[in-house]
Amino acid sequence: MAIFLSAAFSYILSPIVKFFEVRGIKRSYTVVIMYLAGSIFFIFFVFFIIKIASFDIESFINNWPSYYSNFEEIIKSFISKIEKVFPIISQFNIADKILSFLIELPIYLINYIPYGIFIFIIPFISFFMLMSGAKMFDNVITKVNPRYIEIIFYMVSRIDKTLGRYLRAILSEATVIFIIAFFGLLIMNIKYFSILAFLAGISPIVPYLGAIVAGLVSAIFAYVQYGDIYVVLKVVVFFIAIRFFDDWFLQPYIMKKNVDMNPALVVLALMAGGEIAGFWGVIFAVPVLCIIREIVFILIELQTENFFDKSYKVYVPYT
Amino acid sequence: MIFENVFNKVYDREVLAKVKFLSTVSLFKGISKKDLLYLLENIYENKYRKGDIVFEEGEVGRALFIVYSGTIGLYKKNDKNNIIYKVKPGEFVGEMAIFEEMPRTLSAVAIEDTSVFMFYKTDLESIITSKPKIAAYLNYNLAKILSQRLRGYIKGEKEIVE
Repeated sequence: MAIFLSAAFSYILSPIVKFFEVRGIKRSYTVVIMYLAGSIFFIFFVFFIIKIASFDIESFINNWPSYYSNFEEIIKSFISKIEKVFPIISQFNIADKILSFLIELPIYLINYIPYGIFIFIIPFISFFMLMSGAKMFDNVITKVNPRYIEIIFYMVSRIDKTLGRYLRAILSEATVIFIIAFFGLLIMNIKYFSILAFLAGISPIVPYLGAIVAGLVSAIFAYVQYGDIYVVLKVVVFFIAIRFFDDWFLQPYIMKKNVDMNPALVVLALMAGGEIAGFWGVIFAVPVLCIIREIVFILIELQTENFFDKSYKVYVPYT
Repeated sequence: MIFENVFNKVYDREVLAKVKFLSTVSLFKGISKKDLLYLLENIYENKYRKGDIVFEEGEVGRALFIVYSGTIGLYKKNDKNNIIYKVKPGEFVGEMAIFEEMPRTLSAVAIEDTSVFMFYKTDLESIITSKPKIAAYLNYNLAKILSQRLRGYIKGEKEIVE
């Protein structure tokens, strides 16, 4: 998994390296300078946020029993009201299922903490991947029949354009949303704002579902903290505003993330990803879908060319 | 002196040579150095060994090949020994593929070890939206080149093969 994530990370960074490379700066120097700059950024900014987040996680886990009893009360009364209207629901034991998940929530969180080591491992492996650059690809290309190089580069170019645009857009989108959510929730004085902002930040990675979950969780936390529906409304409106800002401004004007993906296909890909590879499957579902979609389009294109009318005139090129 | 040493270590002079080369290609005439760097970011470089088939007649063309070093020979299918035209450094072949993905009209072989830049239709399309100024120059230059070829065709300066 670390190798796969490192490849994705170096792929995201590669345009920066290429930008400097075609301007004459040798690859090795570009990578080293980029890593130094990244380290400074990491120390002064990300480290500061992680410090707050880790403090939040600690207090969140310590306070969980008291929050849990609040949640229990709210959920039980809510489900019993629904069951009165729709008695058939009672046989599914929804309240018990939700509560058993909630009681294990801090353990789920703790289980994901070891993945924090990826913060160090991924840039480390990516460093060497970036250093070697296109050499790995060139080594593969030399083994291919030169006649097929034109079509291989064509496929690479198309996949790179779609996937690159999507990945870089999603990363910028996640950063912008994280910053907005971080300061928004901080101003509203919502507890665990850094965890909630992180959740909001990663929400674009899982389309549709991510945004709903981030908004819903934040609203529940606001209700548990203040017990005031007015604050909950404020949080909900804030997240709806982020959504509109994202859909109407960030995506179309700044990121041009439009990959014309059918929403039903995206949801299907998310479900399939989750089924095949769990958490990481969901994270990589849309990028993999981008690749598969582009390959299918190229295959259809190639298939269509077989029926091409090949009657044409030939003339010697004038150069 | 120290600055010069550092500069020589960090700076890749080959890039400068590539940009200088691209500025001499008629397709990129009028494009500024800054924009040539952008183009260099968006074109693929590949090396062919002597005797390698670059493309074959009848295959759908997708890229324009600019010869950077070496020579590409053009020939009619199944007549590899009869080279009709030799594409030298600075010249290019396959410009029609940039406009429409149609079958190649001739086959191409690397007569010696050859280095080429490949410029795809998809790249031109993305440049049209992202860098319209470069696209305007490219399209103007391509139109001029195609016009020259058409003039040559009308005058019967070049052999026409049915």
